[in-house]
Amino acid sequence: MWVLVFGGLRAFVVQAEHCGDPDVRSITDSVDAAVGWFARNQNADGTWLYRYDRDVDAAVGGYNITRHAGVTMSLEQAAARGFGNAAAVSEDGIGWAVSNLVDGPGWRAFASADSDTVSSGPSGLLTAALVYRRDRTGTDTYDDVMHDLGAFMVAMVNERGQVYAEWGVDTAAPVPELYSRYFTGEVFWALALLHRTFPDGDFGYGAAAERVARYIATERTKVEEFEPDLPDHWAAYGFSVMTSWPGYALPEEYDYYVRRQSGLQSLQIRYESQRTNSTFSYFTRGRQTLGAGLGTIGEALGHWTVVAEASPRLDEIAGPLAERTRCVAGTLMARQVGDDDVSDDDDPDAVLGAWFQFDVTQMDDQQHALSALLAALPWPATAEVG
Amino acid sequence: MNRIVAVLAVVTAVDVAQRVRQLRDRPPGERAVVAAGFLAAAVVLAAVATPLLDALDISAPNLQIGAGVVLAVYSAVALVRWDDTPALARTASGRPVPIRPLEAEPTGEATKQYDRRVGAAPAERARQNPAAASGRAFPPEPLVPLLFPIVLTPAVGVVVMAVAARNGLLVPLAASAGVAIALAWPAVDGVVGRRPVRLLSATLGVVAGAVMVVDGAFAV
Repeated sequence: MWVLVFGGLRAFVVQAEHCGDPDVRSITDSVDAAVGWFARNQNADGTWLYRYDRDVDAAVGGYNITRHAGVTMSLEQAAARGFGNAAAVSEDGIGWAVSNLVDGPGWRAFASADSDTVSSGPSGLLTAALVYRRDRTGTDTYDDVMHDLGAFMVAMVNERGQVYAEWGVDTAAPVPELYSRYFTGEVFWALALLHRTFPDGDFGYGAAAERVARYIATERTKVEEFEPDLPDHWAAYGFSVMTSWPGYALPEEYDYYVRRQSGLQSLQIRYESQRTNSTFSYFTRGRQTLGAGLGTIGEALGHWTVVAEASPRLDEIAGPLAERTRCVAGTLMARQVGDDDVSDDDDPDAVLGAWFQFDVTQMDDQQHALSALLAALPWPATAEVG
Repeated sequence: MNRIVAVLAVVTAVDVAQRVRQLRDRPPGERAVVAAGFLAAAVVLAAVATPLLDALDISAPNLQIGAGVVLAVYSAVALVRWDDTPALARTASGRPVPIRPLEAEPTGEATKQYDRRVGAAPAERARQNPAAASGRAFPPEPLVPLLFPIVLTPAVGVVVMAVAARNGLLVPLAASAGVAIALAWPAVDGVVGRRPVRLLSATLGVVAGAVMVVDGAFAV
């Protein structure tokens, strides 16, 4: 009976979690490879290869400005952490984004010029990239752009703390009752960063960020009908930045949300890390997820770790969160295309350093994976190696 | 894991009402050995839980989910079953020998019949295993089969390990100590070793198992 019960548990319930043993050197190598993918696959205008099919060795086409902004943000995160080759790649991406801003009443936003609406999310991610760049370079080159984007985002936050997903060009007003799963967190994060960068001005960034924080932590799940909850890595970014505001203490009423989000993301990596794509694993756990999907888990866990470490009431989950963050990094590294995985039929420039599912990769696979690897760097398992 | 749930999980996994019922005819010395053996096993299981999970690449919350499933299933089955046979009272064919109810008067023809039938069980054991009958068996009967596999079931093993991995050593050992007292103390037989108590225990076990699954799923 013991063999039956424990064997059954091992086979179907508690399969091995393949987290690897990531250390600073191996994570650094993986980050370098991801940044290398962006460097090799950047177009002359600053955009990137959007989607690539390895099976037919061809670009699939399409482009998405939210993901463009996200890639520049991730590259700026890497540059800020000392990955110097990321800075030049990011610079061209920022240049393309800044040349594609649209004007509104008292603000500018990052959007497609021919669209009837202006989405709020892309401006949030571009703002984050610009803040990272400002922190890294110490220059105010894009301060005006940041304030213009900030004014747009403040205009998109209502009194309740909800973030409108779209601005209607024809109506010259936010599209009512339209909210996005992710734009809310992206704008929240950007506003929190702007408040940290410009704490003294009367811009309204901090007040707007606090409204959004309260809405996310206490109301959004019910109001926007996310059950059990929406795993939101962008919210994790936002709250982690708020904990870096001078004198800020996380309100106790947010604890439930932080714990819930931490648990949801932890559950996901505890499950995902069991997937190996073997036949047995495929039938008992399903196929491995996208690089982007896995990356967002690591981003969330890494930033919830920052929140937990800054909040004494959440101290007991900081250690497990850091361990799960490292697990994401190890899982990502195991699934990244390395030198040994490139075959003669492959275009090395398009596959090396990338994450594929069904032989297809999309630039946000590399974006989220890169950010997740960077989020794991503060918590190496072994001694610093370089 | 909530400490109350953790303690409840260990106690219900042992299925104290059923075990006390099965041990009721054993001499106090044997029961003391069973209880001490159980506590020692719990200490070992709790101590090896975390290193074993590390070696097998299993996170503590995932084991908690697994333990919750095992506990819930075991307890659900326990709701509809009740073994009234003393642990060692079986015929040579393995068929349980009916036992005298605890509340029965030890007089009359039925009791005489019962005594004759139960009396056959030790004789059968002596015929099949003279060493056991003479007290020279190894391992001794209090350990096999009384402690293992009757008291120390897979449900106990996985629950104690899961609780230790999530809550540390103190909680599972405190719960196990309480269980050991019940196993060793004949005075509780009449109160604890009853089917209504087992129904209560099994119900709580199903609840504790479900809570463990949900709590483990959303744990960090």
